[in-house]
Amino acid sequence: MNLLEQARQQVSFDVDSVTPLLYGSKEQAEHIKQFLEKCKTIPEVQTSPDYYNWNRGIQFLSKGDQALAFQKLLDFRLDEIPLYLGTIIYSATTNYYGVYYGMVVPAIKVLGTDEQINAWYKDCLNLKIAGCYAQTELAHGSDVQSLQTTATYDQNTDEFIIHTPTVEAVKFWPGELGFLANWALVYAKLIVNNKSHGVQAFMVPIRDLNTHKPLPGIEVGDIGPKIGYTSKDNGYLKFTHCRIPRFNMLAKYIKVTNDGQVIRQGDPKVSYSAMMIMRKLIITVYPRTAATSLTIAIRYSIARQQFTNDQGQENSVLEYQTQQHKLLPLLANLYSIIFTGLKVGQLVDLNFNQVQKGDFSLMAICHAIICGTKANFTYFVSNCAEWCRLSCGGHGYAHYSGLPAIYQDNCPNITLEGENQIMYLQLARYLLKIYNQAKQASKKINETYFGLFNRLQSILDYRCTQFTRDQLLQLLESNVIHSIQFTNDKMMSHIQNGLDPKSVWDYKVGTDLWNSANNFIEYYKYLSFLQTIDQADNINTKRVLKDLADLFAASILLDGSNILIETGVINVESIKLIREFYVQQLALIKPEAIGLVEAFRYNDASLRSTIGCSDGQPYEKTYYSAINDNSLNKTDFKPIINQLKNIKARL
Amino acid sequence: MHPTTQMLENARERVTFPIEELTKLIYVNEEIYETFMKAQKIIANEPTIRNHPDYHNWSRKQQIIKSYEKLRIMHQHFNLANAVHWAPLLSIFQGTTPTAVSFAMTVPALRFLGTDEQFNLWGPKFLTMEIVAAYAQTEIGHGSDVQNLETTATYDPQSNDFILHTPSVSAVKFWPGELGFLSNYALVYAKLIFNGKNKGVHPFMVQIRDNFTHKTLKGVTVGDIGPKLGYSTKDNGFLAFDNYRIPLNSMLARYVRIENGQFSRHGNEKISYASMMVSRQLIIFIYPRMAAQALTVAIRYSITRQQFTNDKGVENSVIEYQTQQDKLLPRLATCYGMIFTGIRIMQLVDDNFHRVQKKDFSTLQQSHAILSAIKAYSSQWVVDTTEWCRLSCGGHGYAHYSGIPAVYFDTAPNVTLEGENQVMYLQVARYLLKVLQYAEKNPEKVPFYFSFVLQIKDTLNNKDLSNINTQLGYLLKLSLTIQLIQVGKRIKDLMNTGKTFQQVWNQHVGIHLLSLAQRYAEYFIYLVFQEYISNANQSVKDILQSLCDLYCVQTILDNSSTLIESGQITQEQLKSLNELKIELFTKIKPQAIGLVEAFNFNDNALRTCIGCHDGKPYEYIYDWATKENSVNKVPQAVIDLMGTKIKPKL
Repeated sequence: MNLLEQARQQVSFDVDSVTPLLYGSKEQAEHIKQFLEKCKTIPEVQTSPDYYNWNRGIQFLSKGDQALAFQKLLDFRLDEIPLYLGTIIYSATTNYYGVYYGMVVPAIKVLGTDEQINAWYKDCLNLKIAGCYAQTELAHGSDVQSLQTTATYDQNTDEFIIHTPTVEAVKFWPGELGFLANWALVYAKLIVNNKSHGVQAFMVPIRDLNTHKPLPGIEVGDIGPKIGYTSKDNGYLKFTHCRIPRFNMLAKYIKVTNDGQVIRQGDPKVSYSAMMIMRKLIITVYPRTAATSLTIAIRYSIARQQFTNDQGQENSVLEYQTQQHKLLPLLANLYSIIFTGLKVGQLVDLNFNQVQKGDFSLMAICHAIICGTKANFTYFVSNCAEWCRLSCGGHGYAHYSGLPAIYQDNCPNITLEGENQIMYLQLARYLLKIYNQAKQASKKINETYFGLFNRLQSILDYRCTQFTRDQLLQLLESNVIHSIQFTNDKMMSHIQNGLDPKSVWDYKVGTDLWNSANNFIEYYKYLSFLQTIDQADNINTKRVLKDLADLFAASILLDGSNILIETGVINVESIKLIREFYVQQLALIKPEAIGLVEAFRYNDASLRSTIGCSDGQPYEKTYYSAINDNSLNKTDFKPIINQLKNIKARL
Repeated sequence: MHPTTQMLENARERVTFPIEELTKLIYVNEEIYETFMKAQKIIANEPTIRNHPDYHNWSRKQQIIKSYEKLRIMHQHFNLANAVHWAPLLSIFQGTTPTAVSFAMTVPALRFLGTDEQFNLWGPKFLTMEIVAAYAQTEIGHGSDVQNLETTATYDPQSNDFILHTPSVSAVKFWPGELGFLSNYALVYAKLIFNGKNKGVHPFMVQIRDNFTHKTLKGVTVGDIGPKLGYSTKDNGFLAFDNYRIPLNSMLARYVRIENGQFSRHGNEKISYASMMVSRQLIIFIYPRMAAQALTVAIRYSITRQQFTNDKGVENSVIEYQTQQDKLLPRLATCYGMIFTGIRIMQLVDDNFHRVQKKDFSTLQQSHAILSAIKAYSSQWVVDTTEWCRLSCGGHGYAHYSGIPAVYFDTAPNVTLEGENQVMYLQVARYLLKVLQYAEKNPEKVPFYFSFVLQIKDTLNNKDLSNINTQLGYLLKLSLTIQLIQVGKRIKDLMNTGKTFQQVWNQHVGIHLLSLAQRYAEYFIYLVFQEYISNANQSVKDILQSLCDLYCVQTILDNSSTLIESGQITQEQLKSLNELKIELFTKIKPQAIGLVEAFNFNDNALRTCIGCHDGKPYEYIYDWATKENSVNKVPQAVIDLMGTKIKPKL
């Protein structure tokens, strides 16, 4: 019998019982499964196996037909972001208009007045307007308040003048700006009567609606090739005194009157909630491409045999402990991230709805959690793709494995939409704040998300002298609280020694802040994992998921719990026990691994891999793909090579 | 002066050691240095092969054509057969170099495994490009596990030749570089079947394409395997044989021979390691230099990039932030250790070759173990470092104009090729356990770089760690020693429960073995680092010591669990090490620009517009995007696409 079939028979739980947990509901699980099946039948949607031999111009254009076919599949409900999940799983690489509907349109909805939304929204949906999100400049990204593009109000003509004063201020990187966009949502410093009023958002036409040529005063184009995102036209944009009507500043929270008065209304923090939608996409959707990586790597590790064992048979490489050590903690981490992502998604939606009603009570919590999970998850997805690649040996390095593309197209998420380091620092700031509130018992901390801060003393009193698996949660809690306490104390002592708080933050405790934030997210992931297990209704499913969750927790503790050792929370004996426990969990999860990846129900076409298909025949698919699909083999290099033979070498 | 140029100049003025002293150490000798500088200049001045900003927009076909032009020109100026002479140059090209595999792998194999007559027959033709030969070992179904290769070479006594055959898809040769298009020969590893008996895997020098037309010969199927993460110009290929006859003389016959219908073996078969050693040694020597390129870019950029205002209302260079230092400085420190190790290993391997040629195999195993350990450790380190350099440049690092992605692409395969890292580590671990036995029974057999096994008692009993910050090397040794003893004991205990050695090895101690081998690699790098410091010019001893200390302290902190779990160091000591690291940051940060510039890469070699010698990142980026980016000629097609296809459908 085929090795994959043998492995499937060893799975001890009902795989179908896990699928709905991974998608949040039975309906969504069924929807995705059907969507992927439908994709399989539409030729325009397939990414050619030859794609990575092509030049970027052709790669970009090839995505046009794919975009159209996807939109058809989605009934042209372009602004319904949740529908994009299936397209991202299926194509892995970028899609036309993803940024537009993920960022620009939500921003217009949140920051625009009703009048503005009425004026533009219809054109947004029929693509008469294709916009990009022009915030980042060459010299400034994370630090929005230092952006240099100016929008100066001219009272005589009742217009804003958008201008790029220096090369540093050129808008750079916005996706879909290079070729597709004819409008840009430009973040610029508002200047009225020579006075700056902070950075605001402006709707600026940049290309002619009919000819698509750049308008006067606009220089625009694609920034050049990148690691991945080959078909995303990240662009540059430079303005020379471009005039736009006063109406074009998004004005729900700030207004300029025709006589030059600047009136602020409502809470400007709301503009963040638009950014949150995009981050939610990153948090809830992209980790699902890590499931693609792991499906490929785990299937291949079962089908691939190497070195003979003492019975004279070749072992599947998944039998080797080192291979399990590479892949199974990633699998456990993936599950924790998928489950956590679903929870964060609910939080973002709840907050978005509340903000629309003027209720900001969840804003700070939502922001902190999004920041931390965004940073943690995006590191995970590219790290996971990279380790899956390595676990497939040489084959992993080739595009036919499907793994390089996942790495290439996911790794920008680390630095885009909020650079991860900055994200972690923002979560850390919030954690320090509530830690101090909790310490002074000045305020009850939100129990749902930060409940552990309400039990500060008991957590600080906890000691682990004899590890058992039921202490994993306590250990992860301690890891959070002790790292925050350590950072807090360190900051205080620097400040008492006369350093100002800002210098301490920037120069003295950066790495400690990072650790505190990361430790919190790992704890939060484990907690979410446990909560999701409660929803499972099958006893075997519960058992396997609990084993997986505990493998995750143990791997986290083994990787980063120095603070627990330094503070004496845990003794040496217990660390050794965790290590033993970890090795045991590897052995328990190994036979379940195939079921755990196949619970995602990705069909072969969506994996875009010759080595990870469901039939477990990697070599045939790989060889015939090289022979039949690789256009270079139809290229005649012989004349050039024959010329080389005439070289008289210098010896 | 441009403000960013000024920032770099100011930083350069703060460097307090003589940079040229480090340059000398990095480039080994005058000859290598001069060759390197000359090559940098030639490439930069030659329009057809200089690094092209638009390169990564091109199709693979166009990139491959450029690589052949590069080969033509470099062949005119340099002796490609002299690997040591030429190796540093490999790091400064856009794309891989055709014939590199042929010279670095196939030629050494011919030299070591072929008879003198065989070498004289084929060797000279490599130099005139009449022969380019791929090293065809790996198959689709088997890589690291050479003994299970499936391709067969069956001896036919009637015609006194071999029939080469690919019995199944999993036996197709897959991955060899330069096989897809360039090679007309291949050194094929195949199972020798003699009188119906399997005589093990041996190499055969096989012609696969016609010498004049370059057309594929009958009975051979060959081509390119398709696009990869990087190596776009390398024609990694597939190769299948259909009962293909090759002459008797094809089999490399220094150690196995068929004469008068009789099969015989001669000498030590371990020699087959020797040819792989050349390519591994090159990986260790060359690729940390590519990490140095990424570090040059990242450090210059971190000085010129300013972000967020400080308390004086001025924007900070991002290198001032501790988190940025934490990303870059420990890697810069380790880079020096890696460079020195690369040179030292080159010398060790050379010495071993001379011995082997005189049939002295006494240093073969230790050379193999050291090479394996460092190949694995160094190749993973290079990839990680490149990735962190990219991340330290924010969004710009993701673009090819930063120069960093290409470094990542082209170093990433080293983790799995020429000995998959994990397999390498397991071999090192096996050797360490063997050396441990020597220490007990034949201490005189313990090689110099493994002499820590002779000091186990002393190492474990030296409890005086009152001044831990001066005991860094000792801590590395201690960590290694403890792990070695623990693994040995663990294996014994598990075997006492009735498991076989192989079960234990494969299924129960793998992760411990990996960790052990890594600790050895770290300790070896420390030893070499110290050798260099003691031989270095007085003027750079201090900075080198700081780098070595930072390397050690970071390494210890990354893997402190062994020391803590075994009760060797306390929480207080751990804190002290953390503080030492921060102190070293303060010390090394102002020297960082000098440390990267000691490599003397010119702007063309760095392929960057964010890390040039005169700064100006934003001007260069904008210039490249607006003037050099060929994709910007696409828009008419985009307009058509949107106008005729997408919009009307909505």
